[in-house]
Amino acid sequence: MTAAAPKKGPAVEPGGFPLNEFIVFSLIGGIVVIGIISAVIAGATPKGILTNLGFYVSVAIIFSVLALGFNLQWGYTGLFNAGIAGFYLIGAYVAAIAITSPAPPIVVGDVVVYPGHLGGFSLPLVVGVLLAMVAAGGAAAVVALPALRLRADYLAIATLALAVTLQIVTRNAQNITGGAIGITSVPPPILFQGTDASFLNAITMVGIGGFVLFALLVILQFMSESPWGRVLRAVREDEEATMALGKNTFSYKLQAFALGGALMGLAGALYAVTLGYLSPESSFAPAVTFSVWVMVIVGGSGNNRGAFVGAFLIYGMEWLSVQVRDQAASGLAANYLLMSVLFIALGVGALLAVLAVQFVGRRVLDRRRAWLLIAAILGAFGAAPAALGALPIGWCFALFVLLFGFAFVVDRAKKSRRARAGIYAAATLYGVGWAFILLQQLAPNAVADSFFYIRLMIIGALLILLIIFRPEGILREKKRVLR
Amino acid sequence: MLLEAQDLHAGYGEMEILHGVSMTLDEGELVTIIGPNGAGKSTLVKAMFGLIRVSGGRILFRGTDITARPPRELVIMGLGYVPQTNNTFPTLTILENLEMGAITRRISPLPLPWVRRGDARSRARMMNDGQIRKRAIETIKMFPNLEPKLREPAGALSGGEQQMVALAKSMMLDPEILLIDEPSAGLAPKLVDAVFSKIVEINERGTGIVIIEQNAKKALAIADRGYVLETGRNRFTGTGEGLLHNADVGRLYLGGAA
Amino acid sequence: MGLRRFRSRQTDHGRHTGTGSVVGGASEVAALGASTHRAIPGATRAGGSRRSRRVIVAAIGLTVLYGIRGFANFAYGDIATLGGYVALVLTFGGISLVLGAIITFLLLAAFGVFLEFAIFSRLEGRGVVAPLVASVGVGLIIQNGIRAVAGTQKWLYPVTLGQDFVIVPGLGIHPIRGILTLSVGVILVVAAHVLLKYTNLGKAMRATADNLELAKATGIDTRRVTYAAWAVSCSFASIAGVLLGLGSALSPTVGFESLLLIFAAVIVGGIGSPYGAMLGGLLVGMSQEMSVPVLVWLERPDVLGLQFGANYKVAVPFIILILVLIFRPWGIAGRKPVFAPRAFFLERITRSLRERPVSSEAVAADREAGKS
Repeated sequence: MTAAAPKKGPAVEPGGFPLNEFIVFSLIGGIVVIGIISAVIAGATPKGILTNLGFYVSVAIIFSVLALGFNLQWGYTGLFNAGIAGFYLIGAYVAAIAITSPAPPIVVGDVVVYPGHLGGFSLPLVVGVLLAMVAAGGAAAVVALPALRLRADYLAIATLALAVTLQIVTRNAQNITGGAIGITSVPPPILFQGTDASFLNAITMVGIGGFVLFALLVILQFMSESPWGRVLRAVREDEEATMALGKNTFSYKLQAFALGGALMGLAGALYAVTLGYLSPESSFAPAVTFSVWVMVIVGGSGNNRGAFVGAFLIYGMEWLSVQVRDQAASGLAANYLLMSVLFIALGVGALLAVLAVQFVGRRVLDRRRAWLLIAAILGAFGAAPAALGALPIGWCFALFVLLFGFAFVVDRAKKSRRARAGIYAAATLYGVGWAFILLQQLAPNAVADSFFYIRLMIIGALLILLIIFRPEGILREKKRVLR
Repeated sequence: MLLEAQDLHAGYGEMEILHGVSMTLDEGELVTIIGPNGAGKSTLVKAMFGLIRVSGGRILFRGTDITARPPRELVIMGLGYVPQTNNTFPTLTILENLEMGAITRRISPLPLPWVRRGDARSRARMMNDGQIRKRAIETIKMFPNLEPKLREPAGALSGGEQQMVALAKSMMLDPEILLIDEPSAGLAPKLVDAVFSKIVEINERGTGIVIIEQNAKKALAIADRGYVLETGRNRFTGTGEGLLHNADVGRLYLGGAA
Repeated sequence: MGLRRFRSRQTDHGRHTGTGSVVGGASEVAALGASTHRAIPGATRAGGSRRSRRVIVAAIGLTVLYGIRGFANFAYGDIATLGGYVALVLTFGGISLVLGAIITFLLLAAFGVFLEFAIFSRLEGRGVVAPLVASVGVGLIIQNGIRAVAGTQKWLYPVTLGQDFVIVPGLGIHPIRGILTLSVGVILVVAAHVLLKYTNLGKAMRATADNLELAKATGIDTRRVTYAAWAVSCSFASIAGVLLGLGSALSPTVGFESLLLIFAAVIVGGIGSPYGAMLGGLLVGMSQEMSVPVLVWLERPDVLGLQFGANYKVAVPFIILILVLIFRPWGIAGRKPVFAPRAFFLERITRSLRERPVSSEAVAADREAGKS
């Protein structure tokens, strides 16, 4: 796919303002800001908010590691893995089994309250992580062996099959994995006591995760620039030609796939210690795999920086939806209105920004264009609370319809891909806002769950739109001369 | 002039392989195109048949510009193409393969609204299922050894037989021009002779033929005229006999002086 | 059409099911669903063939599309689920299930054409991965859209589920689950056979699946064939979805859970070969159910002490899939490609150990093998 990626779309002009990067980072910033605002409304303490943010960052780091693993397999080598969740699961369970203390089954009368699980080896964290990487990498190699020599979709089907099967086996093999209850009380890296324990824990995990991610980025960058990485990219571009140069491409593909699997195992181990408990249900569902795809595609496959930015962005969406849902559970129904207005304001802001770039940006200096954008987005944020208090929803809607229609006309006239993408993004945000409002009206109780499903639907839509219109991702791989 | 390529530029993706090739084919002629590996012989026929993008030059069929027309239209106009390998549908029987060869002229027995009826001339040549079957039985008579195997899947046949099926399939519509890509590829010498004699037979019925060949000597021996390509450009042009005895061509492509 | 209305409808039709209790709703349905998943030793054989039939219908539909369009449609299970739910909604409108299934058949055919038109036609010529990714997106939207609208609970069709006809003690046939699904399955398999073998469209579909380039060069209207393939594929999926709903109960993941089984059937049968898919579906479905006695045997403490052994039958398609990929990647019914390397797997490993570059002919041959 990457080989056939069309060479169109706006390139970042050398020396110009990196607009795409700016948009991506401001979106991540927006997620954090909305998260904080909603937490403040829910009445969280500063420490609680920081704990929550720390959780976001550390899980986003875990997804970054997953995305880096997948990027190594697909982005660099062109091997498509549809079973990321499976290798993630292996890593998580192997690490958890290795580092937890013994957990015997709990039986009350004739009822098994807790089936216990294999292990209780109480090994140090580092050993657990290494074991997780070896196990997941080994599993990747074993699945890849028969499927690597076939067309890409065979590998995808085989890995998906592995992931689905592993999830079901994990649910049933109670004496190994604890069954549906899973493994509880995985020890954190440092055991804190007292009321601040969860806060300190979150900060520790951010620190450890940040270090691991930084180290990985450096190592992967080094590896991709090395002769080894060059061979991988050559395999992706033209396997036959690489073979003709005397490289054993099968062995290279196997190495890359196993290494990617090991990285996914590492992510699983990090997940086990970050959360402290494991259960086979949602954490390792196939949806995890699909989310990681979106992350890598958003960031631009074959681009490590993109993989990690994509992870922060896409996991941010999930985190935000959970934030909002949790507040819904605590009965703060009014927040939906606020959230909806925030999304609408974000949409309008993004649209304004796009229009500003379209009309002014072409003729002014890059720096000024950047300031305009910043002003527009800040203005949108500022407008949100005002809109909540002063502007009725109907006016908001009318305003948006006006702007959208205007933008549509401009888009038709100018035929700019960037404008179109911006308009669609703005419309999506806006649509999310309206979906919230409508759902709240229609089925107040269903809203909480629907958040989760709508998020997955958005991920699905993103997959389709990105693969059709922007397969090279938002942050593209630098052009490299291969031959 | 039946078919004419003028200064053709074409290639795969961004890589251009033909850098301006010209050739002509007259009514009832048999022309062969030879040249070393990678000279762009196959690319030339594929470009003429609308299978790859043409970036420059044009192709004329009886004076009409047919550059970049989709293959289906060309088939309807009266061109045929036999690819080098994989030129039959392996899971279809020989009979079904031949029926597929006439699919562009089939009248659907159902009055379906979306079926395109075409202009008056092409309507007149349309066939219903019975006529197509009759035509297939007639066509297969040219290839007597295939007759008993009519209901066997083409994939079970030998390489030479598959080549014959491919020829028969393209003869279903009696095309005015047949483009044949390396009919001798992967065949034993004896079979090559059989295939070539079949091609001459088709040519004698009035079909203009362009053959791409590695086996230059045999191809030149049956050709009226020949073109020698090298790295995507015309190198030599002449009659079949002439090229066969040309010292330069002989030294370069025919393995020693003739 | 709010959620509340759906909920009340559901209680309604809980009454329709006529299984005795009027309490209706999710708990009863869930219990029913669970009971069909439990392995009942005596009914194993009937269960096996029942499952195989559903898989066969779905596998034929998937393989037709796979062969012609050349990519693995990961949304296929969810399209089947969608079919099941569309039929369910139609029965709420007072239409009988049979008529509802026929309307669903047509609606889903149109849906397939729409998918190709709106999404997949834009991804032609972009390799196998791009449409695969897009199909996952389609699947996510369908599955979670169903969850958001109809909820996660299980639903039953408002048909009376009678008692089993007991043939021999311990082995019975259920009038709806057994006889109806059997006859529908047989009808669809026969219909697929007639379509592919005797109609011009079917022959053109097989030809296009065999060799897209040659089909174009022959003058086959591959565009129209592709749309037809989507229509056939999605309408078969809808019937498979209705059968899944009849077999146990409808849930948003009922199709996705069968996807693996369907893919195993398609690959075992050889991609693009409808007859292979029939055989593969039979083989995979039967072997999955046949594995249950073995797994139950493994549950015995003196053998392995496996817990919930019967649940491991879901691993069977995976094992079959891997075995087929190792030994016969072109499928059990497919023909070995002309240029297939002799010792496919072991030779490749020894080769890579010897660090000798692999010749390009072998690569070409492998590609052939992958394509076939």
